[in-house]
Order: sequence, then structure tokens, then C-alpha cells
Amino acid sequence: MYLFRTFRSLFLSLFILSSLFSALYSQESNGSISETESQKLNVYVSGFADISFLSKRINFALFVSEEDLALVVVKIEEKSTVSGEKEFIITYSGRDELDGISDELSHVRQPGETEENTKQTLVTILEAGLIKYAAHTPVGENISIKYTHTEEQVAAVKDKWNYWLFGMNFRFGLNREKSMKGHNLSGGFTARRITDEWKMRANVNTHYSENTFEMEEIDLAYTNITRNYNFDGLLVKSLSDHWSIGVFCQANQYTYYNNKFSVELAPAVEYSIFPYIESEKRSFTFLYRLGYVYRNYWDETIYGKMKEGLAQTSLTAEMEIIKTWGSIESYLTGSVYLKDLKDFTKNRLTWHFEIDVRLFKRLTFDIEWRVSMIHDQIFLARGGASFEEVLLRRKRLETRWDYSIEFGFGYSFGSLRSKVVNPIFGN
Amino acid sequence: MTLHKNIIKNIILLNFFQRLCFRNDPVKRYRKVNCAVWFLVLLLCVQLSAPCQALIKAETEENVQKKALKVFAEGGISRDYMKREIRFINYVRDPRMADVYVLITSLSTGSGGTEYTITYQGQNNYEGINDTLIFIRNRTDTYEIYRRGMIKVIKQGLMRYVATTPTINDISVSYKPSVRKIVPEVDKWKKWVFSIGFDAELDVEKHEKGYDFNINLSASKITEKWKFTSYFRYDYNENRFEYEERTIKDIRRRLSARSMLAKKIGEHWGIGVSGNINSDVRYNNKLSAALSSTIEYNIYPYSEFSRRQFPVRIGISLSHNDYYEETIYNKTSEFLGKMFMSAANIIQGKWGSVINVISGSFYIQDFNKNNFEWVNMFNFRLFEGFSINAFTVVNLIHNQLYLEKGGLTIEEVLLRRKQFETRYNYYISFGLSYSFGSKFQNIVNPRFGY
Repeated sequence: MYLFRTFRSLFLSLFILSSLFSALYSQESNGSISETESQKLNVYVSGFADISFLSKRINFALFVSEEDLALVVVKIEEKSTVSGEKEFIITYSGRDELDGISDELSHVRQPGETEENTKQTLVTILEAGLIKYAAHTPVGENISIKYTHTEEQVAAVKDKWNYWLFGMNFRFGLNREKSMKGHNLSGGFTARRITDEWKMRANVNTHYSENTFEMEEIDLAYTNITRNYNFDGLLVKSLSDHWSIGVFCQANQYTYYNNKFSVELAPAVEYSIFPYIESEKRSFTFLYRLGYVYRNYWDETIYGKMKEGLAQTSLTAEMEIIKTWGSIESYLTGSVYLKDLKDFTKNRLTWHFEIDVRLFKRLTFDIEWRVSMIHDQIFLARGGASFEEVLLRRKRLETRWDYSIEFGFGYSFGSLRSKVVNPIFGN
Repeated sequence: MTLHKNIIKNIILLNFFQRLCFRNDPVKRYRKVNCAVWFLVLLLCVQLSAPCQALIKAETEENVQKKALKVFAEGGISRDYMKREIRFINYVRDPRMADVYVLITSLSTGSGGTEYTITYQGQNNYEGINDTLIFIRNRTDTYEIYRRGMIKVIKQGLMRYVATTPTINDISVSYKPSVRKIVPEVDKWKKWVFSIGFDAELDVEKHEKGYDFNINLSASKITEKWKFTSYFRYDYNENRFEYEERTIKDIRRRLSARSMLAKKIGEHWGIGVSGNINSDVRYNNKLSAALSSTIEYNIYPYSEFSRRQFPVRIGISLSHNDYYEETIYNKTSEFLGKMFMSAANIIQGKWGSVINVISGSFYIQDFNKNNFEWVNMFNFRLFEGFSINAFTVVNLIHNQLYLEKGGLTIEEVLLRRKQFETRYNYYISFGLSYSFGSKFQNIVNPRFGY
């Protein structure tokens, strides 16, 4: 309690201090110059007659009348190509702080292109080339680039592989020291085809690891072996901006869960409150799945089973929001085994929540928790676990709940906008 | 498919109209039939033309997209976010397929922010056209502010390459002079930055409980020439196993504090002094205090540190160590002098990346009490879609002066709570990966999770 009070008072006094400083700062920034033109990129252009047209089209540049006043000097020259078409060559060269940055772009006049078209195209290309120079100066901060194309997604491009992508990987590791040795082996194969309409994905992964502890002086010799095999398949069809249906297919083996072999097939439907296109900014989805799972166990379970087949249904609500003040992520999922249609006692409920915020620029705060109510550990082995297995976390142990909570805060003050990079003795 | 359905639908409609007409007199019937036929022909035309137009449009759209700039970008930002925000380019799966290879690397700034270096490297028709832009994430910027700013800069750097592709015609550039007034920045704090942080974690279930917390404080002042950094950190980790009436408690307390003053001399040299205080039960270290002085030579200029670095260091330290338990050399505390050296090379490019670190030390009192460590990590993209990678750590250890005389218990071994006695350890891993298939990876489809 005392600790809590100390922290609270420390926190409060820091907060008051910081507010005072920020008030001081805002007072200070009055009475200074504000000129739009000084924020533009000074450009000198030769070989293009209609400078007023350029000024109208390229807003971030100030077209000056003398080379000496410019940061970028642009020359447009006309040439004839071998095949007789007119070619326009635009050369750029930087001066002063942009010294040494030079570039060249060109445009070949197409048959049927009018004078006006050529002029428009030249200005478009000229502008694109100038943005590079602006990006090297503070002018870049005020330039926004928009793609005005109607489609909201990058268009898919089909090639001979018809959107399919395959991958495989393999890994081998070895470790040795006086009283410990081990090795591990893993490999995987993946195939996927992702378009706006369909999503197909299949992964196969295997992992084997073996670790041995040996210490004669304390009479210890223990070998820890883990074997996991996993197949994971997914097929999803987009129905609309908000709805999709699909099917999950899994087959796996995990020593940790007493799982010798299990296979699961689960059709599912998903509804998204926000259009899927906004997924990188905000998402809120509901996923309902109803499936059948068949399991084979290593050891007899506490219910006396060596194998069993069960129907399972689950509902998951998941959301993520990323804003300038921070981000929130959360999911709530409930599942139940449908042993017969009366018994819903083998169930599980999990809630995860995470928030990360920045307050008053200097203070960050984050908290994350996960709470599970567990009543569906039907896989537990009757024999329990040895103490070594407990310490090495070799087997999932019986529990009716688990929870974790994590929080942190950070407060910083001082020259928070310093941009100096000095990498000596590590960065 | 839809066209077939439409035709069938129209025939059925025609039938229906005809049947309707036969019930009336022949003249009217003829007129009605005529009218109906014309109506249906019109309907069919409209229905036919719509998908055709769509087809033509889609084809040109795909053509435009096919001719769009091919980019392979790595580092710095989420690829899915980039695909959503930058739509006028194509995303390819291997750097060799790209017109422009974009590499984003980073270094910390004096204020604890991040300086991102965005390198553009032209290939194919853009061979030799390169550029480097800098984007700074302030310490106070949230993830959203950072990723928006980053995308803006990446886009601006790409424009020069996009200029000669058809997508340029659909790009609009707008300029909004900032209303923010230009003030010569006055830094009242004179580059000093202070921070305080606290984190706690609780992870509980029936048989296993974990409690962790840490507190950290730091103060630093970093300028072009000088670097002063200091921090204090305390960590507490507790794990408790309760199973069949046995309880094992595993507690680790760690304290570390460090203060360093260093000066950069030219583009390659640095010298520094530092003071350290540490305590860690894993190393039987009750409390150790050390003073050291180091000299550094960076083979590449410091200005290229973000892209490639190769600092070589040599130094000397004096320390006083207090142990929890009496050591195998019958000491509970001792005074030690140590020489240490290291060389670390880190390079990254479109061919892959290499990290190579060699370090070693010996105690001045006894040259035979020494250690040597080599860490190597590489990833080479050998040919299109194929890469090999490896991770190697080799330690030759003859300086475990801290080992406890009493030995270890089984729990301490299984939980790896204490460092074991050994003269060596090594870890070697080797991996390879190969991918093939569609060149273009433009689509983000978040349905049913990523």
C-alpha cells in the first residue's frame, strides 16, 4: 500500500511538472514568421515556355527566374529518336544542400498525341521527378500523394502460376555443452492462392527436438523429446464486403496435449462490422464455426478414452483499432463440445484485451490481460505428470482457469525531438 | 455463365409474353409480340454490353497494373499496410524480380526515437537510379503517426520511378503548406533526455504461477560528438510450481546500472569510459562493480552505420565481485582486472544479411582464465526464391570464476536457474527455404484471419 502511494505521488508530481513545461513551451512559440513561399521548393526550369502553367500545376514548387536562386535546376531538351519521333529529355540537378543529386527522365511523343497532351504529360513527369528533390527537404512533409484509381485494392495480376505461391523450408540445429546436449529438426511446406474472391492455404509443418541433461554428481540423466506434426488447411470464399464463408481443416500431433493424432473439419462463417478493406485500420469480426474433431491419445485420458470423436462449436468476436492516440486489440471466444445435445459442460471461455496509449505526449501506458475459464481438458492423461515433466513444461496440466495480466507505464521528458544519431559504442 | 443465364431468362420471358398475347385478338397480338420482341432485344443488348464493357475495362485495368512499377520492399513497416496504402505499384516475391528494391534500416536517435534510412535501388530499366531518404520517428510518435509518416516518405521516393509507368496518370499530388509557424528550435533541455518506466506481469494457473516486474530509469545526452548515457534497471522474476504437494520456487533478481561517457573522433574513432554495477543470482553474483575504458575503431564510416557497421573494440576493466556462495576457488569476494576485445560486422543488402561477432577476454591476474565467443548469423538469397541461413554460437569458456562450490540441485538444472560448469558450448543451426509460384503478391485478404 505504501509502495502504491509513493508511486501515485511520484506519478502525479511528474504529471504536474510535465504539464507546466508544456504550458511554457506553447507560450514560447508566438511571434514568429510564417511564409508559405519559403516552404516551397525553389526550381529553375529552362526549355519550357509556359512557366505560369507549371506554377498552376505544380503547387509545391516556386519557379524562380534565375538559376542562382534555385535548389533544383531543370532542363527540358527536345530530340528526335531513330524512328523519327520527338523525344523530350528532362534533366535535373540539385544545388546547395541538394548538390550531387541528379536525375534524368524522358518522354517519347506517341503517334496521335496532341501538343496539349504532350504538354500535360511533360508536366506530370516533371512533377514526379521533382517530388524526389522535395522529399530531401522539409517541403516533402507538406506533399501528399493520392492514387485516384477507382479500385480500393491493388489489382491482382495474373501470371502463368494463376496466383499460386508455394514455399518450403527446412532447419537443423545442434547444441552441446558439458552436461547438456540436444538437436532439433524441422521442416514445412506451404501452398497458397490468395485473391479477393478466394483464399486457399495449406501448411504442413513438422518439428522434432531432443534434449538431454546429464550430471553424474547429482545422479541426473534425463532426456526430453518433443514431436509435433501439423497440417493446417483453410478455404474461404468472399460473399460481400462484410460476409465470408469457409472451412478449416486440421490434422496434428502434439506431445504437450497428449495428442497422438487428431483431425478436425470445421465449416465456418464470418461477419465483419467494418468493410474488410479497412482491416489495417480497424476491424471487428464475428466468426462462428461448427466442426467435428477426432482424436487419438498417447495415454488413456481421465475419462478412460484412448480415442474419441466429438462435435465442437465456437464463436469468436475479435477487434482491433489503430489510432493516433494508440491501439486496442481484443478477442472473446467461447467454445463447447457437443457430446450429446444435452451436455454443454465441456466448454471454455477466453477473453483477451490489450490497450496501448500515449497520454500528453510524454506518458505511455499499456495493459494486457487474458482470462480463461477452462472446462474442456478432456485430453488430460490419467497418469498425471512426473515432476521433471512439470518443471520442463512437458505436459499440459489440469487447471480450471488461467489468467495473466501485464501492465506498464513509461514517462519521458527532456529534448524529446532531438534527431542526433551517434552510433559509437553501440546504438 | 451469367450471360447464359440471362439468355435463358429472356427466352422464358418471351414465352410468357407470347402466351399472354395469344389470348387477345390477332392485331393486338401481333403488335404486342412485336413490341415484346423489340423490348427483349433491347434488354439483351443492355445485358450483353454491360459484362463486355466490364470485361474490356478489367483487361485494361489489369494491363495498367501489370505495367506498374515492380517493387520489393523489406524492413521498417508492415507489408500488408503498405499494400493497402500504396496501390500504384506491384509487389513481387523476390528482390530479383523488382524494378526497385527498397530497404529500410534504422538507428536510434539521441532522444530515443528512431531514424529510418530508406534506400531505393533501381534494377532492370532503372539500373543505376538510386536514392536514399531519411524518416524520423520521434520518441513521442504513436504507431499510427509513425506508419502514416513513413508511407508518405516511401511514396515520395517511389514517384521518380513511377513517372514513366502508366499508373502516373492516376496519381494526384497535393500540397498543403503547414500552418505551423517556423520557429528556430530552442532546445531548453540542451539535448538531455530522461525517462522512467515500470512493467509488471502476473501469469497464474493451478499448478504454475509467475510474477515479474521491472523498473528502469535513464538519463542521457547525445550530441554529434559526445555521448553520455546512464541507466538503472531492476528485474524480479518468480516462478512457482505446485504439484502433488511439492512446491518449487524459482526466483531471479537482477540489478544492472551503467553509466558511460564517450567521444567520437572523426568518422572512424571513438573512446569511452564506463562504470557498471550488476547483481544476478544466475551467475552467483551478489554485487559487482566495474570501471572500464574502451577504444573503438569502426572500419566503415559512422555515417553508414545503419547500412553496414564493423566496429573493433579493445578495452580494460577493473572490477570488484561479491559472491552469494563460496566459489570453487574458495572466494566470497575478489578483485579482478580484465582485458577484452571484440569485432562486430553487420551488413545488409538485397543479397541477404550477415552478422559476425567475435569477442574474447582474459583476466590480467591469470591469462589462462579466458573466454572466446563467436556468433555468426547469415541469410543469403542464392537465387530466385531460394535462400539459405545459418546461426552459429561457439563459446570456449575458461573463466567461470563465479561457480558455486556446493554444486547444483536437480531443480536448478532443469529450470536452468544457474549457469552450469562447462568448458565449451556451441549451437549450430542451418536452414534453407525455397518459394516459387506467382510473381505478384498484391492482394491482402484478411478474411478468417491472416
